Amino acid sequence: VRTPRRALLLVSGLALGACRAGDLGGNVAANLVGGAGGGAVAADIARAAVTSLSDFHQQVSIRFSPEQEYYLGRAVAANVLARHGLDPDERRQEYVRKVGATLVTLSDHVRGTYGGYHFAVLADPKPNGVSGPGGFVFVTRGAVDLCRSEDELAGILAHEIAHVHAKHGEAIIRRGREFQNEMQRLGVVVRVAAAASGQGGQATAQVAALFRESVESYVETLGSTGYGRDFEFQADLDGSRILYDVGYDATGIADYLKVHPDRPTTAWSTHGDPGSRGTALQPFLGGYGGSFDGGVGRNARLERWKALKAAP
Amino acid sequence: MRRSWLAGLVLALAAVGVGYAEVKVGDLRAVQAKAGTALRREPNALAPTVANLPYGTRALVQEVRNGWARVQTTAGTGWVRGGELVEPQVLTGGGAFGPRGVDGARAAGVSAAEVSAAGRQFAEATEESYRRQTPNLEPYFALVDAIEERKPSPEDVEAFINEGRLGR
Repeated sequence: VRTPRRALLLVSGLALGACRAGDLGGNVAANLVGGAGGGAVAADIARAAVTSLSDFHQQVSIRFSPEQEYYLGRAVAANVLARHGLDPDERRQEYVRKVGATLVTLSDHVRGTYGGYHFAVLADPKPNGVSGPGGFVFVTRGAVDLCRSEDELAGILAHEIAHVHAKHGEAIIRRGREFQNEMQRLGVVVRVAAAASGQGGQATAQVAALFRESVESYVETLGSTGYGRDFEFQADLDGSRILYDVGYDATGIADYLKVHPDRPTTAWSTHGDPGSRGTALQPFLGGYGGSFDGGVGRNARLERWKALKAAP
Repeated sequence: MRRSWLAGLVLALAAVGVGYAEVKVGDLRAVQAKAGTALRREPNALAPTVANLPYGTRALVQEVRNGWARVQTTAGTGWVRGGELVEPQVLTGGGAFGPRGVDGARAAGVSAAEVSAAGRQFAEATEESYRRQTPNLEPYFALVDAIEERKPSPEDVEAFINEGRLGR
């Protein structure tokens, strides 16, 4: 059995984020603001490395960093594109990019990301919206075709942005792993880190394997069960709030759900059927839904929407 | 067994604290966007820009209004949307030990190795390794790059907003 002290010294390399969530983070921040001597930083790193197991466990309180989200999101996006293809219609792509950028620019309820938000149309004729960690948001050609207004299209994008904002993708990656024995978790991490001391290449390979596993399980989950009912309901509500922030009709998501074709019952068992999702939005829409400018904005948007739809 | 070590490593890689809570006066925050974040004259997304704050820039929160934070930075004082900022220790790239203190001081003694260690988890090198394992995805990573590059300009977005009578 390896000594805990050595193991914890070694774990600092892989679990630096955890250490930095504790004393180290505060000291680094203090040093950067105050310009204190950097020797203290190095000392803090060493000190944090021998944090007790219980402290370490407390610090493992689970969030991917913005950078980690970004790289996971890029790989998820590549897989999504491989499965569904990219719509070659540049007019439609540009329209969707502008609607998405409008939502992100104007809403105060969208958290930032490392790489920013990116929007694109998939070639798939089946109506759907897909998002990955870090800010990649896709809508299918089938969904754009189904929308009756820019506000409904904005509703789909806002719903997906809400998934990103709430880190639902990260939750999916973690799903199914939450019931592991905590001591087993810690013991495994320590062993991995210990291996890294003498065989850095091995640790790198393990990180790469984890990355691959995370990406592939995420893509697989999206393709089968999706985010699940609770996350879908939350994204409907948060997305409607985003629409309201921006000046779109907050009923955009509820209106789109009315025209969304029924899925097999088994699929709705994980997504929530459109009817119940629309009903769940009513309390919010009772106060915030509808046009609040006499329809002037909706009419202004209708012209460009018609132009998009009329394009071959 | 393979699952168990993966689960453990997930936890280790993710152990960066929450860091996305609402900002409040007195907080020290950092810019998380790799392209930087606009420092604006007013708490409004379309207000004039004072400066672009690079990734990792530290920002001291002086006032909070409707989700926006008035911050002091080395580039001056202005407004940033609170959601654009994170606790500095949340960052795992170069910005984790970013050189940009509010007073302009750089933290001495932080080695390149330490910065590298902070950023190696699910970072560019990890993506490169993944791409070597999945060469069939190369054309699609090229599409991802293209999607990232095709972001509309702020001017185009503002024109789109005005034309659609949005943001009012």
